[in-house]
Amino acid sequence: MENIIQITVSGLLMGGIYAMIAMGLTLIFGVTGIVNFAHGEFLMVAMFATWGLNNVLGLDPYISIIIVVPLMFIIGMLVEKAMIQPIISAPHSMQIMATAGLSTVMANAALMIMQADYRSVVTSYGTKSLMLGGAMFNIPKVVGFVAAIILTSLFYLFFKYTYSGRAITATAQNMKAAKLMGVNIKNIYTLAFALGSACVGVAGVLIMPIYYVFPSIGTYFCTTAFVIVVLGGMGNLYGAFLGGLLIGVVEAYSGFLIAPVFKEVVYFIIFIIILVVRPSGLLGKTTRSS
Amino acid sequence: MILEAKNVSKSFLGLQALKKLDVSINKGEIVGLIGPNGAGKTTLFNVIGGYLKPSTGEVIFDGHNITGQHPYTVARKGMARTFQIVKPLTGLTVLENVMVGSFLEGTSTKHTQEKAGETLQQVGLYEKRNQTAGNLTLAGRKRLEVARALAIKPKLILLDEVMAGLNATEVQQTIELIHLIREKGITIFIIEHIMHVIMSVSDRVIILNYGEKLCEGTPKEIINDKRVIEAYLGEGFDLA
Amino acid sequence: MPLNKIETFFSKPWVKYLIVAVLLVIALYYGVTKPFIAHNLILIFLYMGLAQAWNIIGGYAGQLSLGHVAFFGIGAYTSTLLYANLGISPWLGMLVGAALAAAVAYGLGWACLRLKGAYLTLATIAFAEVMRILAANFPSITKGSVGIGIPFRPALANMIFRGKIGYVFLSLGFAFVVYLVCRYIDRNRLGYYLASIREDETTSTSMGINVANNKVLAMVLSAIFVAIGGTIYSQYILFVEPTSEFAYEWSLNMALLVIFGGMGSLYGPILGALILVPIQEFLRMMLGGAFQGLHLVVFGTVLILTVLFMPKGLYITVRDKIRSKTRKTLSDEGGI
Repeated sequence: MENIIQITVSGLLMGGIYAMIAMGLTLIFGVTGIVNFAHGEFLMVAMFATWGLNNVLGLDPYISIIIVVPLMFIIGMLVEKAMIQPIISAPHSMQIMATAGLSTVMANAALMIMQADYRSVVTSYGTKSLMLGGAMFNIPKVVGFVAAIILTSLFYLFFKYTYSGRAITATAQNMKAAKLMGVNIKNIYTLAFALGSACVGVAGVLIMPIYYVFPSIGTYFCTTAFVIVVLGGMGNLYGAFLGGLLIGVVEAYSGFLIAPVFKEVVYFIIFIIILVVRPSGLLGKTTRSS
Repeated sequence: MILEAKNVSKSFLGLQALKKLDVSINKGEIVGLIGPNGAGKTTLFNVIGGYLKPSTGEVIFDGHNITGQHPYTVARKGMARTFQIVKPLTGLTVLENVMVGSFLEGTSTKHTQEKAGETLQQVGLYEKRNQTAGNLTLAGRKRLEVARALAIKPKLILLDEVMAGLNATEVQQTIELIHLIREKGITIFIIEHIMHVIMSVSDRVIILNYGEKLCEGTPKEIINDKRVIEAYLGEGFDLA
Repeated sequence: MPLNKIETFFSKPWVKYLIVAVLLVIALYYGVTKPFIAHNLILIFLYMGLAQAWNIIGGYAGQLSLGHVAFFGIGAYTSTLLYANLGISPWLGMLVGAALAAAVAYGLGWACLRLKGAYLTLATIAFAEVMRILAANFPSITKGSVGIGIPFRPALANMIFRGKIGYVFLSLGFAFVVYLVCRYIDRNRLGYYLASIREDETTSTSMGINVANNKVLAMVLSAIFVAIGGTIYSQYILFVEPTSEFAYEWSLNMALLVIFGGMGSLYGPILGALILVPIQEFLRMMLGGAFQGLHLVVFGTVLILTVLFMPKGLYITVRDKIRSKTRKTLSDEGGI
């Protein structure tokens, strides 16, 4: 019984962090229709930035969020303008190859500069846990989980109450109609891509107290994020949140019941089953009209 | 009788697009299908061609019950169609577009190339055979739709608005093409919005309204039918 | 000489064969004398075969798989396991691996039939990833991440050669066989059907094409030859391990060579391998020690630049340029 509570708690907490990564990916897809295969590498950059700020300036990861997130926003913006905008109406295969190429470039550039070493940030709270109701709550994971909820709520408010937010929603639902209503589609695409990158920036910062960073870490988290995004319905933010939690729990249980190394196999199988049986994901229709 | 649709209904999420429709077409006929937007014309084509499964009823084509069969099987049995929104294989040349259809007759590439060339000559696209299909004008694309349909050597051809968006000369050329297709012994079922065209070209006309058959008859009967005039053509409609 | 004359000159069969023969003789001469050149030739031909095989499903049929390393790994592991454990000749193992890959591709093909665009790509990546994890975590069969060494017993029957030149011929033969298969597809009904499916599935259906069967067939054919490539590679380096034989880079590279050279064209993948593989090997050899990962940075950059500036690939872009010039000169003379 205690095991069950503990596993569920660990799964949910990890799921919160996954959710943040997935939300960025799904936001970009929902609005621009582009699947960013380099999303994991954006996470890697955010993590290295957090590590660098800690190593050089001695900044606490949670403080460095005020630098890393705007930085990721700007990187996302630049990448969108340079690479995504020119291929926005190109065939899918070209869009996939472009972002897959970017992923390779970023991961291996990091390998060249930082070497393959594992690096981590040591904090006073990194391994601290709260005991609550017979379960351990790792503090940085709790922070990540709470942040995921806050982020989702912020997105909800942003999409509902601001002009930019509503313009993004309108574009995601019907690009042509939004264009006719005077929405500047180009800017919306840039904004969505930048926001998605900032989102993964938040995740990168919050993971740093509990995770190592190394050049190929993107692949690991990116594939998880893809599973979550497909699970929640491509382009569906709340689906991504839910999917994140679900995958976190599934991962925790399969790690416990089968073996940690097979947890990936388990969720890849889920992934393929969902793709084949219900490609629109758990939360039904995607927000994007084709 | 080459085509018989019996008691065919089709509904989408509660919306009845076709209501217990009976349609039959004789060998060698040209039958026109008209009706206001949303009357269910293209839906009927999709059901007949196997692109949509009917909710009720069955479709008999050339003696076979083809209800619920896959469109490629239906095509192989000799039913060709064009699409209202033209769907050329944009990256391929005009000749290659038609060759894909001509391959139904045999595997020899050389033979297929000749067959496709002949088909292109019939529709008047032979000079453009080496152009990329994506570079054709709208008239060219509509013509390519017809060529592709002819390439599979059909017994029946469903033409879905092959004249929409064409100018007067191009419409006239297409009418000639339709007569030519009939001379080859191919039965034609045609959706068209241009009224004087459908009236002049068809042996028989069927009018759909809200998924139901409003009436059917020779063009002469149709334009004198009070219900049609009221519901669809508007008063004072003139054949010319 | 005007461009159209150049094109007709180069399209004469004897000219083509002569050029290929001369290049081969030169390459083999240097291959015999310099191991570095031989190593490059092996990789060029191997990649040439792999890229051509990928082109069947990815190029002709337009189904963008980034999980082809799964078939590569199946080929490599099957022949290696059969040889190392049971002493079965890798030639036979190669066929078993190909058959196994075909069966897996058949299943994957049907499962992924309805998936389009990025969904299909994601599913193929996920599938390859599952294969890698399985290979790494069933040590009782695969020896896990430790990998399996292939005992060095040089003999033609063992597909193991002393020196590199045997492998040069082996990989050349592989590339040539795949070329013949692709040429057959390119010139016959299957090629036209796959191209039609790539352009529009509904239109293909309306012309009597069984889209599902043809897609699966393309996947199976593609997988068979990628698996054979896997056997050849493992016989060359005499070692298999999950992180190498199931590495995502293989999938990406196959796609890159084809996209750079020209998707869905017969000569595109050949051109891609001829140009890019030596560059990659040069970067790896010369600068790989100092700058680990540099060659992949360059490759990724080439990929991005190709997509942005030459999306049809080198072969098709150049061919269309020549053709449009030819057409212009012809129409100037009153032709067309």
